[in-house]
Amino acid sequence: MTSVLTQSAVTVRYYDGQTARAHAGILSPPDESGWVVVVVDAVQYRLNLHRARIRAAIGDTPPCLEFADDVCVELVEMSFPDWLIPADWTESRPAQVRRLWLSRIHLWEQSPRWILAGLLLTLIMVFGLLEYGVPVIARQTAYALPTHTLDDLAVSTLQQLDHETLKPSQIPLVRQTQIEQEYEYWVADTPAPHLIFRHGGAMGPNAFALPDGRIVVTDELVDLIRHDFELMAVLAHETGHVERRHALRQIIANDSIRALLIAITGNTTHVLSDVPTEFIGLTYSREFEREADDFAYQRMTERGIPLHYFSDLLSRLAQPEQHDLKATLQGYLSTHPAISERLIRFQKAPAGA
Amino acid sequence: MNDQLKMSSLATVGVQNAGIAHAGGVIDESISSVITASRFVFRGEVKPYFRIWLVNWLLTILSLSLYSPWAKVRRLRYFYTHTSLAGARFDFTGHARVIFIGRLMALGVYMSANSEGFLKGSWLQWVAGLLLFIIYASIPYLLRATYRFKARNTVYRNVRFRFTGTWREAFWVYWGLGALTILSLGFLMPYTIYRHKRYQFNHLHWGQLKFSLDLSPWRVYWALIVPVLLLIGLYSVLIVAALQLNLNVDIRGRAALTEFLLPWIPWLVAMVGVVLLMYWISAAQVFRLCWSNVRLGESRFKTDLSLWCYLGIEYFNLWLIMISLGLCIPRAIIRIQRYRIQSISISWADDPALMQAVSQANLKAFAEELNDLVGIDLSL
Repeated sequence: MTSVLTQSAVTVRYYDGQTARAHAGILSPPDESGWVVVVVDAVQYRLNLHRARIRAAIGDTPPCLEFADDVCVELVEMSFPDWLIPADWTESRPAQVRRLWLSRIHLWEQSPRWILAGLLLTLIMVFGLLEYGVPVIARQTAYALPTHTLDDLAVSTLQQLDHETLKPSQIPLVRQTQIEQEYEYWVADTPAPHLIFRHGGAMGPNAFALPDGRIVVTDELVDLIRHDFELMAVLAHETGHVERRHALRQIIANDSIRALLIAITGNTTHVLSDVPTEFIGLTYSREFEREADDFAYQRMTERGIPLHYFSDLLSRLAQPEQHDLKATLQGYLSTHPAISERLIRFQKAPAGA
Repeated sequence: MNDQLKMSSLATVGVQNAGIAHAGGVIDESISSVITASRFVFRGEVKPYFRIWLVNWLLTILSLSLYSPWAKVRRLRYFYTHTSLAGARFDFTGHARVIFIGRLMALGVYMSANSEGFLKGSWLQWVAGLLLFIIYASIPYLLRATYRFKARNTVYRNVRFRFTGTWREAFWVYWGLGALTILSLGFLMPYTIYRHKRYQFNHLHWGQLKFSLDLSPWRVYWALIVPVLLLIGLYSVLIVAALQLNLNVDIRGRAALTEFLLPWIPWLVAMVGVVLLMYWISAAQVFRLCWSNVRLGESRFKTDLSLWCYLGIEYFNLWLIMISLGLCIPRAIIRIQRYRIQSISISWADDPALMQAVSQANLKAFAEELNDLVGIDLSL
């Protein structure tokens, strides 16, 4: 016994699980079946390592072994003897990994190299998740859900808008029907999304898709256009939002980010989870605008609407607010991509197309 | 210093060294019969804790939050094991797995609380509502379970703490008095705090020794006089403001709301400041009251925490965290914890060596308790 002991035994503090008294002892390496011996005042205590639980070292606190009946063996030195985690034990791999982790975690926690590597890995993962993971999940889920998922939301949104800003439309019914027919002929698939006409009020010239696929067009927009094709271009863009289920995707993406934030921070306070979610949500909505532009581009080319009508209207819409600083600042946070960026493609379109 | 500890290889720890430490049979740095009082010592440092904190965050993010219970155990263990009394450390022995289950339950609560819009119109909304009601109704029970979990997993000299409060008292203190506090517009708050602390301390045991809090509710009222006056001031200002504004502004629209709030921002900041001040003063005063009037067996605790120092540290910490965008959170926590912990001392009624003879209380009943529905940790 003595020869083995002198080579690798370690000093420990032994607690018998009954009293608060700490006994100085010597812990020797285990035999084949995992039995270790702690010698305290010439008394030997036999304990089985297989049933031990390791309390990992932390900060400057050495590791500790917990046995049944609250018997506890505290190491005096920080380092963890290798024989406490033998490789040849007949235990499962996860258990071995766990022991390895428990014996090394305090070293990793204090090593700048590991921390830096972890930091980089984390940044890469967060970037990948936000850039690819969440959008893919949102798209797959959105297409898997039925189209009427958001009908309730659409109804309440329209009600709220009607209450706050929108007024009944002043456009004659004949003109409304004409626009609907043009839309069905030039842009929409069958069944065509419903068009809803409203007086925009504070909203001004605008068109937007409701979550259930209906499209709201304001009187101001109808007045602003110089050619019906301009309106068709805008409607093609909005139809893109509907076809690609952007409302649902946005909601799913926002909710999954919020869920992740809550899971990670454990904080359900709205300020802490909503602000970052909104910021990230904005980048997705810019992505959606690009997709809707793509859709409009494709649809207009297919059905033979000259592309410049899109850029004509867009630049006219953007004109009045381009001069002040506020508008420039808003651009950074806006839900739409920079206007010049959007125009280029439609302006560069093959002439006469 | 850490590096040194880390590097000390196994080879240097021979049997010869062990023999020396071993000589007495019982090792205890502090034990000598002349000691009559000991102070709590906190050895946590900013740098190591910052690293642990950072690693916890990284692993939590990398594991999509699955690591967070383990992170919590690491954090708690850092604070527990770096707190010592009379030369011996505290430790936390809780299993992260148990906390993980607690987290899942908390997530369930959150989901059912936020799902009413999603489930609208389906029968599931009634199930979610019922579940939410049950969970709210059982908050006192969950609080008690959390105290038991915390106490049972706190060890000092390898002897466990134990919490024996009944669920009846928990329901009375947290539901009954909680409701009365709201009805009294908060003026019953000091009494509720008193009962809450009494519930926490008077049922706490360390081994066979029992904690007891010798305090009258009037002293809590007296200690909290400043926060209560602040509360009255806040109420009157709010009432005056409400009358002044007449509150007939249509604040439905977002733009309107921003315009409406803009001139009030300094007032809002002042209000947040007052609320924070109230919170800090109450926390410090309650801490002082409790730790100056609590006994463990016959040994008395005492704290020399100064209200002004405490407020100064909290105020400084607030700015530190805001300016560093959260990176100085570990520094702030270490600072305030060190101040709190090191302010406490204990004067031994008997020979402190007697503490070593304290034994684990009734192990058998203890083991039975384990099978009970304990082990809930809701991070409350």
